[in-house]
Amino acid sequence: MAALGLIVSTPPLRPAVALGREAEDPFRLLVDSVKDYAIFILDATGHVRTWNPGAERIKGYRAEQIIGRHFSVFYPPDVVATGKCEFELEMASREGRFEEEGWRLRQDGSPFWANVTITALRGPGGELIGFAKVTQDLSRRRAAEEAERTLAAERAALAERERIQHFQERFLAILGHDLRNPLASLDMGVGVIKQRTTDATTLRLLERMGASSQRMSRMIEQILDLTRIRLAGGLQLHLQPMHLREALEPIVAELRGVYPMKEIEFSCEQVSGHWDRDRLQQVFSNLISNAILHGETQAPVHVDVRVEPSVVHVEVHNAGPPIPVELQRELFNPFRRGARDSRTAKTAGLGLGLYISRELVSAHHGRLELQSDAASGTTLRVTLPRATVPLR
Amino acid sequence: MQHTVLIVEDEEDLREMMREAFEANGYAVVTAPEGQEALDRMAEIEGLCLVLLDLVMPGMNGWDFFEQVRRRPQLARVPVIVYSSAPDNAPAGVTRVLRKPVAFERLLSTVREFCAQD
Repeated sequence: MAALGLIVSTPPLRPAVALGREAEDPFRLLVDSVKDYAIFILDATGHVRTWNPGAERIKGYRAEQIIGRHFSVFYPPDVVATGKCEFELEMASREGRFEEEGWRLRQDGSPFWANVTITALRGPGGELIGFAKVTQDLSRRRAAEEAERTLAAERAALAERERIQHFQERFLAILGHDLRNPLASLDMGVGVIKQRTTDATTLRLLERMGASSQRMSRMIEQILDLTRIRLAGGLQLHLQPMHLREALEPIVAELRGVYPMKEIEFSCEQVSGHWDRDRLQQVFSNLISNAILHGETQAPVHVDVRVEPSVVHVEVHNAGPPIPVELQRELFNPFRRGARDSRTAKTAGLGLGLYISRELVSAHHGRLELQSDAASGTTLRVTLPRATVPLR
Repeated sequence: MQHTVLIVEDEEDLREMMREAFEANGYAVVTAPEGQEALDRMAEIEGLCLVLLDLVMPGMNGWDFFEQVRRRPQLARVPVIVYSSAPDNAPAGVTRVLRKPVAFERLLSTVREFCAQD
């Protein structure tokens, strides 16, 4: 203590070199040889009085640049403004010692994470003569800790992603496999009983049972698609060179069979592209069925194809009162309100059809647009990019 | 001789429903809940004209079953129709692929196609 007191009372400019007798002091030699710790002394008002090589290495100042300056230069200005420097000296003075970890600044202004100890130095009579300050640069340790934390967080996120993916795969398996098997049994049973009965009531009931089972099957398909779109990385298309007719003609024929009283006017010139046949059939089946079910009963549904140099438009049009503006805004939203309101056996569904259709068209880099007004009725227009590769 | 359909399907309800349905339409039916049992019995089935094969099954699955059938010359000529809820990656070389559920009439007409009755 006395030795330190002596150093404080006679502060040298370059401590180890300038001191005569003290240079041989083993304690002095120790302080000057320490490179990993800044060890220096502040006077009672917080001005730097000594400096060691560790302090120069950590903080960047040479002794002649820092001795005599207030130790607040080591702190970020916004921290200084809070009165922290005075507080630390006050604490060290009162408690004998102050320790913390926090941000400090190097001479070049760069911050480092430091462990700081300030110890009060008192003379023989107990009077405060200064403070010993020891600072260790913990930036590496902190960086390592942070890297470890980041790594742990990444690992946790990965585990969570895997868990979710596993759940999705399981969910898709249940939807795709486990729910369809019972429907297959029901269909089978309905088919067998239908074969073996002539009773009109039984046959009517079986028709309804069969229709319900098929509707259930369609809804499962839709939920599967929704899950693929929303959770499982999107819809996968199997693009192949094809003629648009291949997607449209079978659907029109099928719907003419299902709705024999309804007129479907269909014209399609020869046009080809790289598309997914099954998925386009799904889209057109949805759009044309909607037009049949929601359009004016007596008026025909029109399916028209217009070819442009780089795109092809397919317009599905029905006459009848327009879709209310509020509903138009929501029409492509999944599970939209209103879809479940007026359900009859004909139209009951999940309200997912148009949403999935739009997603399918988007996956083809195309657009699905709605136009509905009192003058012209309702048109859904699919715009698809055309092939750049000639077909066989 | 009566035509026989081999049904390989793990779900009992569906398996038995198919048995009833095909028997009611004049076919003999042999069933197995998984591939190994089907494979073990297959060579002895008289008049076997068609295999209806599920893919996802406990025990030997449909893919492995089909692979084994192909390796046995005396079995390899029997048409195999995959009847599965997830038939997108059905093994190459099967005769036909049907996605569950299929209306009974269609399933029956498919069976008739391969097991023409006199």
